[in-house]
Amino acid sequence: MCLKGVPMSNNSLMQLGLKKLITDFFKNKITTNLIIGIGILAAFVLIGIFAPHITPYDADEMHYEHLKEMPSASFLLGTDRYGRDVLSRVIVGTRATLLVASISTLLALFLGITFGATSAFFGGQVDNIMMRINDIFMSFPTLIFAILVIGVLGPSMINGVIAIGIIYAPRVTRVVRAQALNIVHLEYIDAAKVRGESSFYIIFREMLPNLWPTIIVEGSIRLGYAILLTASLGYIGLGPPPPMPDWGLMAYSERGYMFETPWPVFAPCIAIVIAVIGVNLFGEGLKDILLAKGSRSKEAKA
Amino acid sequence: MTGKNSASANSDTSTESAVLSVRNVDITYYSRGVKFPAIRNASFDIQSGEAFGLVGESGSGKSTLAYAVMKYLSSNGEIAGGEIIFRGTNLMTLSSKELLSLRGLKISMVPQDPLTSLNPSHRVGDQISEILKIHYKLNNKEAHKQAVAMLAQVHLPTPQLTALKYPHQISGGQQQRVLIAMAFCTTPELLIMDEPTTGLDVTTQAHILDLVNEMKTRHNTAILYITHNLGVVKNLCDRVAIIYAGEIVEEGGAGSIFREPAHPYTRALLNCIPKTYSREPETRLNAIEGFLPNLAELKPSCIFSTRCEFAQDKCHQQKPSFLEIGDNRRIKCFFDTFRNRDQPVSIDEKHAVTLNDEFLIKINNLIKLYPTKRGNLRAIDDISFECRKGEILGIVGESGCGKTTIARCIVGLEKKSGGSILFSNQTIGTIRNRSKDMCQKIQMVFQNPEATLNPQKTIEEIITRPLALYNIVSKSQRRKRVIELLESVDLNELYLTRYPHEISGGEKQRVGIARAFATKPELIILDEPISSLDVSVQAGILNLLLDLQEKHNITYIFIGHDLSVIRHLCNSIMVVYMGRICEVGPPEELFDPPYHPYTEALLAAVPAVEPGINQRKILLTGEMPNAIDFMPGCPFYSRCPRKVGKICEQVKPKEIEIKPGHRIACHIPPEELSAFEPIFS
Repeated sequence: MCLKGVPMSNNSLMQLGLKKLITDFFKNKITTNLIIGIGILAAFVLIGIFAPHITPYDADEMHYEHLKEMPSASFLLGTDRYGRDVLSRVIVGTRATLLVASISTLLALFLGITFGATSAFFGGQVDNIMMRINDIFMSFPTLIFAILVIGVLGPSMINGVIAIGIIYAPRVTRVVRAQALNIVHLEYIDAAKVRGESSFYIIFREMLPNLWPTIIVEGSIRLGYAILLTASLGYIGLGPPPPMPDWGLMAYSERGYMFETPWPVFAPCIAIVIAVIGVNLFGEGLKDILLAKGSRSKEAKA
Repeated sequence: MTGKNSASANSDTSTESAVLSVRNVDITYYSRGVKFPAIRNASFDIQSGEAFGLVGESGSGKSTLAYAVMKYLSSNGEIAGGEIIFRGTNLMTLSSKELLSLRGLKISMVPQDPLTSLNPSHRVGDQISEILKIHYKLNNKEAHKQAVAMLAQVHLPTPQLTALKYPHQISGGQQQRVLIAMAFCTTPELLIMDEPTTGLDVTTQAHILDLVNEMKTRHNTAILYITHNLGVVKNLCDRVAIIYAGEIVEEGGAGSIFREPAHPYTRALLNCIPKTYSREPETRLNAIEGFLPNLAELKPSCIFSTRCEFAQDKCHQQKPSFLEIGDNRRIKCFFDTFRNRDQPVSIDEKHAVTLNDEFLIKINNLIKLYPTKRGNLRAIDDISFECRKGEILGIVGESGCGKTTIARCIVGLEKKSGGSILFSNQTIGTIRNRSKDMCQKIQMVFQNPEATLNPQKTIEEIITRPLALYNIVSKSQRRKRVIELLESVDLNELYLTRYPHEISGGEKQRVGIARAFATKPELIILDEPISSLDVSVQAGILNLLLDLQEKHNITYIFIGHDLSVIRHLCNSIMVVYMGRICEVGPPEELFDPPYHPYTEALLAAVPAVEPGINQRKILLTGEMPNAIDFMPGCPFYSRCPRKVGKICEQVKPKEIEIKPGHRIACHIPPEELSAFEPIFS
């Protein structure tokens, strides 16, 4: 009977969007977290793009006279058991890891948005069935599911992307659906239905623009997880096949000599940690801006 | 400022006996480094046993002032100057600890929203006894005993049992009673009520006001009553202050203010409200043009000068001080000559419209059930009516009566459970089963201005979309047509590039109306389009709706809960209760006997504003029946003051045609209904 209940608390969220994000960027709403996050991410992206040009040595070149060396002036992070420069390999490894992680995140977002928004829009039985299927996918442990997918498709970069994308899509679906459910009963959606719009138009043209803040934040969090999963897959040998440098694979293949020369294992691990922290700081910073409830503070009083 | 002198001169005489004396209070808010002087130089006194009404529209600062009296402002606001004296002590000098012992004991408050003000995880009895335990150090048993006694005082049925219930187990009206019991349990000297009846139905509101009056007399409490509803103030308060954009513009006895409003703003405000009852021909409502001034950039002029119809050069250049106009009244205006001036009256020609005999929409035995765990909830229970071309049909009822569900079934947002809806003699189903053509012909205007427009789209995108969808005008003409539509709702092309959050609630509702008209529909359903707007804005939208209806000869179904608005707008009114029709009739007949007893109770509960009108009061007792149980009889039997007997519970009353177009569903014979004493005289 009383179907008109509208949660007003959504308002601040609804009105925030991409446009507001851009204007806020130039106001003093940027937190230190966000700046550090952007800095780290930008550094990794630049390193990834220019990798072959900034490495001190060729990543695959073996220096037979410098096997398992500790860091020195000529090899800043030392060498591995084949005499390859660790720094160069970490730099080149950035490319594969970031590429796989970001493309798979985009894939997960695409699938998640489509299923999440559609499920919320149709509601009822459609929603029920879609969500139960989603639950089945979510109930697999991530790594085992990845092994399963890659085991079927065979290890390659593209299959890694597909596996990670499919694994994270149900999680994105959940988040997008939850937010879409807040929007779907609002009157402008009713107005679109009364006007005779198609479901496709309502989902992608009326609802989607209001989901962007959630999607951007969710995407940045997913990217962090995707980097970790990419590295994990590399570690168990399901990443891009050698000799292509990959952080996870590097840590795996050098782990036997860790007590002699720790750097070939440490360096890629530290790179992973910094990348994930950077992505998380970036995500947190975006969240503060995009999903913050209107805060009243006296700070601006001066 | 000269205003200060006259204000303090006025209060000096009465401060001795005043419970609360607010003197020259300034309140400032800070937002992103910008100062907003929300309240400027406010002064008033409240005597014990007096109900003082503080009336203003949204954004006028009335709630700010009330919270300031409790010294309870949000963190970005501060009392920048002035004194708040409670029983001789200046609250401004008290520490926060001293204030704590005062709040709840000597000063208490009844908030606006009863549901969010009660803790959902504590029993209501415990929530009352908690206050007693804090302030009187009572033990559990005594506190509970007193809490139950308080619940009995606010006339809750079975107080012992109610004390053990959780807030969600009692109705909204009962929740508000619990809050009133909480406020009175320490017999405070001052009670602040912040729109306590705004979310309630008129019949419940009448009860609550009655209760507040009773408690006030019993405990001799001073009440500061904040509201935007002039009718409520007139019926409850002894003295009234009208507040506009942070300044009190008029103060005086409630009776004399409503009889002869002196400040131009008060006059304009009263003229915005449709008459609850009058035999004279309908007049057009006088909306107040313009907007509230921006508080960040105040000019040294009369605060109302930009919207005042009597404004002169002096008004734009100087700030007026208070002018005493006798009868213990004062106004913030240079002139006292408007009081007796007649308002220009324009006769509305709406009722001259000749109605087509052709039925545009015909509804037969419509039923809507919502399945719940305990059975089917009967939202619409066998309703039949029809609406002719060019007619404005009003549907009135209290919340939960099914009026919105009727609207949603007609536009096709809800799937009906039974019956049929015929539009131009074609059966129509839900939106998914409708042809595009049919969707175009039926449009809807929604209730909540904040949710009716997509926040991510500009006004131009919003209005262009229906034009593009139905290809109503060619692509090159679209922009021109959008501007035409905006102009038809009194907006202009400056709005094209704006986003919904950049315009006011009234403007959003106008855009919503323009969007509905864009498809050139034949029927528009208006679901309480003005109920969340201020009265001055309401009047403008009502005028607009009438103008558009006349111009396009469109059919409206107008859903509302405000009988005076419906009376002003509609050709035919349908009173709905618990998903059934009680009475259908033209407004001229509905407001005089014969009444359906429910219509009679609704009319009696409307807080009428007009001076010189006598309104008979009826207070309904009893609870609404559960809509899940099957009701063989009349749904109103449990609360009906004129219940005939067993027949009301067991037999469904037939609709009796009193006059053509006027039907009543009641077991009382029409002759007897006609003999009822009229509510208004």
